[in-house]
Amino acid sequence: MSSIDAESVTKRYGSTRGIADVSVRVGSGEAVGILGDEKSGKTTLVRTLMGVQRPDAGAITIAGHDLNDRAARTEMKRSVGFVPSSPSFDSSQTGRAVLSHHATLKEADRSGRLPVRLDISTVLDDPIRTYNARDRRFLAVALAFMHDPSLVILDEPFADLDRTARGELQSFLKHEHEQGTSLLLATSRLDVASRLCDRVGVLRNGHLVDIRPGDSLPADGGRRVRFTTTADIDSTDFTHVERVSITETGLPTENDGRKTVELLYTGPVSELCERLSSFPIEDLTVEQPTLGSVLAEWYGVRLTASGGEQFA
Amino acid sequence: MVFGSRPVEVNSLLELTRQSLRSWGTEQAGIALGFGGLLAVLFMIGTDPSQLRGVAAPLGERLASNTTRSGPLPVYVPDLYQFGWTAVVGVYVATRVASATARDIGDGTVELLLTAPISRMRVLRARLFAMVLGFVGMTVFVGLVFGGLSALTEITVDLMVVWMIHALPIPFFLLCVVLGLFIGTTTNRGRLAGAVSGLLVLCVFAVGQLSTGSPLKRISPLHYYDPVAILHGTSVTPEQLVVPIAVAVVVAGLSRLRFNRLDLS
Repeated sequence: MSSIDAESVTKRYGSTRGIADVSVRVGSGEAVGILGDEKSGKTTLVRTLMGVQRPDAGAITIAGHDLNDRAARTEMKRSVGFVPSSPSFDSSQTGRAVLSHHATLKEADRSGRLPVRLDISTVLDDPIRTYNARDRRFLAVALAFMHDPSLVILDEPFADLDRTARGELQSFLKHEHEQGTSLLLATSRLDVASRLCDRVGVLRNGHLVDIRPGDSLPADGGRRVRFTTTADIDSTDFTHVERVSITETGLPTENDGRKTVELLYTGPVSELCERLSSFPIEDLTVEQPTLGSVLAEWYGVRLTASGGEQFA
Repeated sequence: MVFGSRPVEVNSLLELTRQSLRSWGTEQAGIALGFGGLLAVLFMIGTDPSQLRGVAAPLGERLASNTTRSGPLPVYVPDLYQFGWTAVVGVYVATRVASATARDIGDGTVELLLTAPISRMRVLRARLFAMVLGFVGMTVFVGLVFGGLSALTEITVDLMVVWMIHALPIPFFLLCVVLGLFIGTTTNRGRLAGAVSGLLVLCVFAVGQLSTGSPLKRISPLHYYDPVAILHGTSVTPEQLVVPIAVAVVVAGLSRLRFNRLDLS
């Protein structure tokens, strides 16, 4: 039995697009990522799958429960956990009180052990308003996993987390997945999707444009490098460097005898530094590209708001 | 907290109710304390027995048998007092339920709550249940406060009468709660929902106080069931009692419909 079987799901907000004709299947014990940038429709998709929002069209079955049936929608949550993108708590309560409240509602038996594993047990007796982003997020994760669900749906669980916390959460999710829990992970982080997910669906402007194996994704989207040089340079100078040119800007451009080069570099950083040191550099910017620009590079098309394709 | 070995549905309803009462309990105790103290003060300063009008109903007769420090209780005291109790508690319950419901929808607390295997209907039902328990609790507590204070003074008092004064508006309070629930499910802004609900209840209350001949009064449930008038011997037929309860059931049904169809965001 599939953990999730969603067929041609469409959700609109009045005249505004949410998601259009999205089909997702998550097999038992599988980890599937939904990769998309802001406004791509990830949150709409996971909220629709959790029954928090009603689809306009399509059929959804979660853990064998047809979401069209109201009683089944409630029953489904006995075997499904959910981490919302911005979990909201009554901040005057302590973490322990929230855990106890949800443990009663979910008849959960892991509510004592999970805070230790997630390293939030020391703050459990403090009011939630004193929690930092990590502790709030990890409390929400504990709530989602406390009843030992067979499937957990997570919406941007790594948002607002620093590198250490991201690592901790990745280890936890990996362990739970290895124990047989199915995961549906909506994220804008390429590294997370590639490391945690068996398959990754790419969501752009509400359309699922691709589904590929997780290990076929690069661990990151590379680095956007922009530099200005007076050297006589052309694109062939970079043929030995693994790169993707940025199509909108062209390469290189000339201005008052200076050339500005912009490229997407996916190789080792040390190699980049070595290569750049051979040019007289006047200005240099290195930054992580947005997921949107990475996806634009991969797919070469942008989808219009109405869902049609517009080639870049 | 686990409530024994009851069925899951009952357990979750009790847990949700307990959670709501946890937030509201202190305020409700404060209101009951305030009104209990106020009533004690009114009894202590009531000085003019000539203002005691003839009241025909058994409740009125029993009221007349209560004495203040200097004589029988003037009838305007329970009159005005009950008017204030009905208005203040009515506005309070509507405002509180509306603002809590709207805020929980707006800030995502309900979204997190609904990750548990509970239906939306149960969330609403628990909120209604908590507030009904709340105003029943306030009724009991205010009588205890007043009884305690009167024991320290020379006031003689029939506690059953005091409780009756506070309990008579309960059908009206029920209506106020469901109005609050309905408004709370129509917006996700807590303060706005609270203000609109409070104003709505005040309007219902004000229209209910119009003269009997006014056609406008007929749209207020208080036209059919007026807890203040009962103090003066106006008898209440079961049909009259049905009106506020029937309106409450209809509004509760609309709230349920609205909440079930709501896209949470």
